[in-house]
Amino acid sequence: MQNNTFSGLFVGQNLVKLSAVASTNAYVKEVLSNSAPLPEGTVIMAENQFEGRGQQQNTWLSEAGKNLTFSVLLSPGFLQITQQFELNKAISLAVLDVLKPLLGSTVSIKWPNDILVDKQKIAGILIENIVQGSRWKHAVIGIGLNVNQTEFPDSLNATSIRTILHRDCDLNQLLADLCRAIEARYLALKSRKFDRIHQEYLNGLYKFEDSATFKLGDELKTGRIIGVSNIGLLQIDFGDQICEFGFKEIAFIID
Amino acid sequence: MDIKQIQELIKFVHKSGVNEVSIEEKDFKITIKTNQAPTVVNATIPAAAPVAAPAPQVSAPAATPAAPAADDSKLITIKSPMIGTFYRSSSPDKPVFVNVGDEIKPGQVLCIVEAMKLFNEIEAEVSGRIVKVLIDNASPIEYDQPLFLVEPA
Repeated sequence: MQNNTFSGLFVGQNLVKLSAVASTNAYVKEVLSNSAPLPEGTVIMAENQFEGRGQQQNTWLSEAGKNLTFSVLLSPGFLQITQQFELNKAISLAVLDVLKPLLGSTVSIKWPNDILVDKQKIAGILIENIVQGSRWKHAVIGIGLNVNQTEFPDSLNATSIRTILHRDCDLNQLLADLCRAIEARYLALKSRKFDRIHQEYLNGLYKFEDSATFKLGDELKTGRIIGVSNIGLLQIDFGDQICEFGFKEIAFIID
Repeated sequence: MDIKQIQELIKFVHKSGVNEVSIEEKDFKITIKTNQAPTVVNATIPAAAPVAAPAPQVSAPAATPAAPAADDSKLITIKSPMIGTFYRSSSPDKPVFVNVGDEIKPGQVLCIVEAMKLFNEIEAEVSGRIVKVLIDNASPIEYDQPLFLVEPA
C-alpha cells in the first residue's frame, strides 16, 4: 500500500494503492462501516481486482496490472436521494471527457452508464450509495477501464485503449486525468448546473435520437431514444407510443 | 417500566391464570385483565412516563386509559426512501443483511434498493429488533413503501 497525491485536487488527494483486493468498492464500504474516517475524494486503486462487480451477478474481468480499477468516495449530501441519477450523469460524462480526446468521437454512454467505443464496451461504472433515512451519506464510485489488456472473451464484446491505439497507456496518468475530470463534473453538480449536464449526457448517449432495436421481454422492437427522465428512466419513441423503461426492463440489441 | 417489561408482564399474567393484575409505581399504573379470551390491558401512563415511543399519536390526554394491548403502535416502520428494487442481500449467493428477530443498530445495513443500476445500501437509523420483513427479495418497491417493522430498543 502506498499513498500518492495529485496536486491541487481533492479527488485523488488521498490515494491508496492496493496490490490485490477483491473489490475496491467493497474495500471502501468496509472501511466506512468500521467508522474509520475517510476524506471525501479518497481514491482506492487496485492493481489486481479479482472480484470486481458489475451488477449483482456480473463480474468485471480484469488481467492483473493491465487495467484501471478504482473507487472514489464522494459525499453528495447536497443532492436529494431522488436526484441520484444526476450523479450518474456527471460521472459518466467525466469518463467520456477523458476518453473522447484519446479515442475520438465514437466514444459514447450506453444508458445508464456503460462506456462504449463504437459498439464495444471499454469501461463500466458501478455506483453504490449509503443512505440513512432520507440522507445520502456517501457515494462509492467504482470505475473499471480496459487499458492495456488486449484479449477478452468474445461474449463480453469488450475493447481497450491499447486495442484501439496499438500502444500501451500509462495507468497513473489516466487515473490522474480521470480524477481531474470527476472533480470538475462533481463541482458542476455542486453548482447545480443540472440542465447543462443533462444535455451533455443526452448528447453523449449511444443511439440518442437514432433508430435502434430493443429487446422487451421476448419481443424485439425498433424505436428511438428521445430522452431520459428525472430519475433516469430511458424514454423511447416507438412511433405509435412513447414508453419509459427502468434498468433491466429493456436491453439494446447491438448489431 | 419499558415496553419489553410490559410485554413480559402480559405474557406472565396470561400464563399464570389470574384474572387481573394491577401494579402501581410512583408515576405509573398498569392493570392487566385476563378474564376473557382477548387480553385487555388498561394502562394509565402520565405524559412524563419514560416510555420510549417516538410515535407522535401517543400524545393522548394523560387521564384516558390507553387502548387495548396495541403493541403495533409502538413499532417503527422503516420505509423506502426511493423507487426501485428491494434486495435483502448484496448478491444472490450472500446471506441476507437482516432476519426477523435480529437486533439492529444505527448505521447497520438493512437492505439494498437498486434503481437504474445505482445501488443504495439502506442503513438503520434506530436501535431495535426486526419484527417483520414486509417485502420479498427482488420485488419492485415504491417511494415510502414500508419495508421493515422494528421494535425499538
